[in-house]
Amino acid sequence: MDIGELAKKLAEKYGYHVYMIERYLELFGKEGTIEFLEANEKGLNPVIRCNTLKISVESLRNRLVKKGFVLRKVPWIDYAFQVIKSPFSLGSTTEYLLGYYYVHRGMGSLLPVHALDPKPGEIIIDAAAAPGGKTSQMAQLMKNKGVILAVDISRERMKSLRSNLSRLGVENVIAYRMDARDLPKFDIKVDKILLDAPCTGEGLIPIDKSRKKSRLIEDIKYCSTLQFSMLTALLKCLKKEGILVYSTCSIAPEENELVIHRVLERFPLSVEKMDLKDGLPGFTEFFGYKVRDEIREARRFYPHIHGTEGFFICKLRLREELNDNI
Amino acid sequence: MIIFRKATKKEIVKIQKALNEWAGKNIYKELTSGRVVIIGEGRIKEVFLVPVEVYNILDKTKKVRMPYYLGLFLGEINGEFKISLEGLWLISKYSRERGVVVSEKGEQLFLYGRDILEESIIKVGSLVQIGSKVIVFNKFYEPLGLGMIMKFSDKLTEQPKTIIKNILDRGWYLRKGR
Ligand SMILES: C[S@@+](CC[C@H](N)C(=O)[O-])C[C@H]1O[C@@H](n2cnc3c(N)ncnc32)[C@H](O)[C@@H]1O
Repeated sequence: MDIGELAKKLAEKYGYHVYMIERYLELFGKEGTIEFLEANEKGLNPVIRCNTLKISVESLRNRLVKKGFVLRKVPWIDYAFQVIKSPFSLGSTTEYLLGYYYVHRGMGSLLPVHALDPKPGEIIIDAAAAPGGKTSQMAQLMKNKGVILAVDISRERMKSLRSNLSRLGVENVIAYRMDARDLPKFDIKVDKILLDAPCTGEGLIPIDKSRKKSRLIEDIKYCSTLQFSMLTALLKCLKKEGILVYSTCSIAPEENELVIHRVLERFPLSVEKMDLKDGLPGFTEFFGYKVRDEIREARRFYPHIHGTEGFFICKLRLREELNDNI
Repeated sequence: MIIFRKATKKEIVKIQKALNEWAGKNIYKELTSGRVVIIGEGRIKEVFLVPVEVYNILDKTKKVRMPYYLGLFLGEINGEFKISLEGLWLISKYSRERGVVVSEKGEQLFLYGRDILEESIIKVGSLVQIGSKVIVFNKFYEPLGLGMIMKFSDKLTEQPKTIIKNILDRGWYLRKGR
């Protein structure tokens, strides 16, 4: 069977756009594609992250287990659990309402902050912050010390961010509803930046099946352009030797490796090794593109290999401070 | 637009008085150490407890743009100072005697926004007076919210009964705060 025919068949069987399957076949091969599609069907266990600002991991675990929850420790993160069985809705327990945990849809979304490694006292920008999952994870690692500038453009999602951060007892945040590309107007230089970028979200299919059909190839292009312009603006807010972690829940290389390649070509940046126990290297060749070799240091996560949502993470270091005219 | 600024002397007196009353001692100094009290003034006045480092960023950036919010939401001033859920969290360890402890059933109902009936009240703090606001605690002394303790006469038995009217409970985060 030729690739086109196979793609059509698989698209029909699993309910995707044909163009998506064609791309998967090229990236993962036939077997990899089928494994990926099957894993997407299975879904993911949600993850709860213990909010160590308010309670210890042990106490929270004991309380939830007593209530009948079955939890499994997340392999790489000692303050998070996969929820195998939950007798109640995760968002309605007393423990949730008291701000003892945050619910993540999968394990992958815990990793960008892990890679950023925020420390108490640092000044950090979270450039696409709502509804505040990663902001609150940073706040707990920073022990509420230092500052997080949490920025998001969406009015609705900003409300959720405020509510989440309040519930969790986060204090060290100043939140702005704005386009992150306007941040250079603040004329400040920060230690670290997280850009958990808006993306097509193809990696979330295990959680949200509607994404099999909801995006077109043009959306990938649109997101890629937006991501590049956000990154370009944000680098102007970073100190010399400052760290920027870029992540998406997309598996499209145009939203990931290609965006990183473009900023590497233009700015004095290096790609940093990350202390992540898992993940596959970033692509250096795809769909006729060849990108810089060091992008291998980026990490890719997949439902069929790592049991996470589809995810991409890359850590960059700025070698020279940028001025406004760049 | 909401303007964020430092609290005035008058506002501070109001907040201080309310917080100290809850705690039965002067906790204002302790709560505000290393922090600045900021008012977000729009249609209403919201009060935020803001770490000094965060305040410094506000100071640098407010000419360009006002934030959406910052720090910890402590309450609002609408005539008097009304404490928020997270404000309650901060003062609760000082205020056990101004609270009531409720049973697990009472906890569940209260978090659904309901009032607390006498059967669910396990313990009443020594400083609680009928007709006053009380902190509602679960058996671990975790603050679930705020109520008004009242007595009424049961129509059937004509016996006086105690009830705690729900003013504010953490179920808000589920019902409204999504
Ligand atoms: C992947 S989500 C962020 C999730 C968040 N980091 C978390 O962990 O909870 C991407 C966010 O980017 C926001 N966004 C899109 N365009 C933006 C822009 N130009 N400036 C700032 N935020 C933007 C969206 O509103 C969305 O909330």
